[in-house]
Amino acid sequence: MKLETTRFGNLDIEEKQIIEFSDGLYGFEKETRFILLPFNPNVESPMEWMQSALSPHLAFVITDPYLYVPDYKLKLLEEDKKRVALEPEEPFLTRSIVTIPENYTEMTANLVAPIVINQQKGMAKQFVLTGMEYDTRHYLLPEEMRTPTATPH
Amino acid sequence: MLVLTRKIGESIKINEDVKITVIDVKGKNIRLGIEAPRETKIYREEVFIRIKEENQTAATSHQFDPTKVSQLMKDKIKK
Repeated sequence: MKLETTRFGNLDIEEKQIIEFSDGLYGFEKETRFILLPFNPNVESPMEWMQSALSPHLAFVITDPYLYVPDYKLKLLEEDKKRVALEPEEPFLTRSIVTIPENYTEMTANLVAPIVINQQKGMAKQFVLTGMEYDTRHYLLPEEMRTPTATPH
Repeated sequence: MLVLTRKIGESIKINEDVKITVIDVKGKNIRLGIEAPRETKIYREEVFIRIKEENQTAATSHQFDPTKVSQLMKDKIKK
């Protein structure tokens, strides 16, 4: 099927690549279909794009939070797992949405509301963690790597 | 909206298994105690507002060079 996107042009994708978010994302409740795309086609990257399959202009940068916060704690209850059709012991992908400001060295990941993806079934949901001291704006780079004067491009 | 008046130590019950008790009142602050089954999700409402705002910001902040961003992240992960 054809997918029109603002950032990546017109893509030829397969229906099975689409991930269903039956609840959408917080603030984007109608955005129920996304596709994952490489962040940079020529370079290996810890980031990916999550492009809406409904709104051509809408795309998020996502990353694996465990790469930056190895002891990140995401505990899903059985109830939560059922929401994305996961069996109790079935593995799943965890991704955090990344915010990249003009000074990109100050990019942050939202550790409070991770995205859980059931790759097998192509289902996903943004969960809100409770009882955790995580931040919606967790700096991905340590202070010494953040440059106050970095140019945006 | 249903409005109820409660004194310190009094509770309200929601369904059979959720109980919210007024623990203390100090000026403008009210301490609530909540007893509920483990799978009940309880959040401060501001959390949702913050998450919505952060999703909005993330969706609109895209003026960067992906190669530079990737390189920085790889440098960080190597450390």
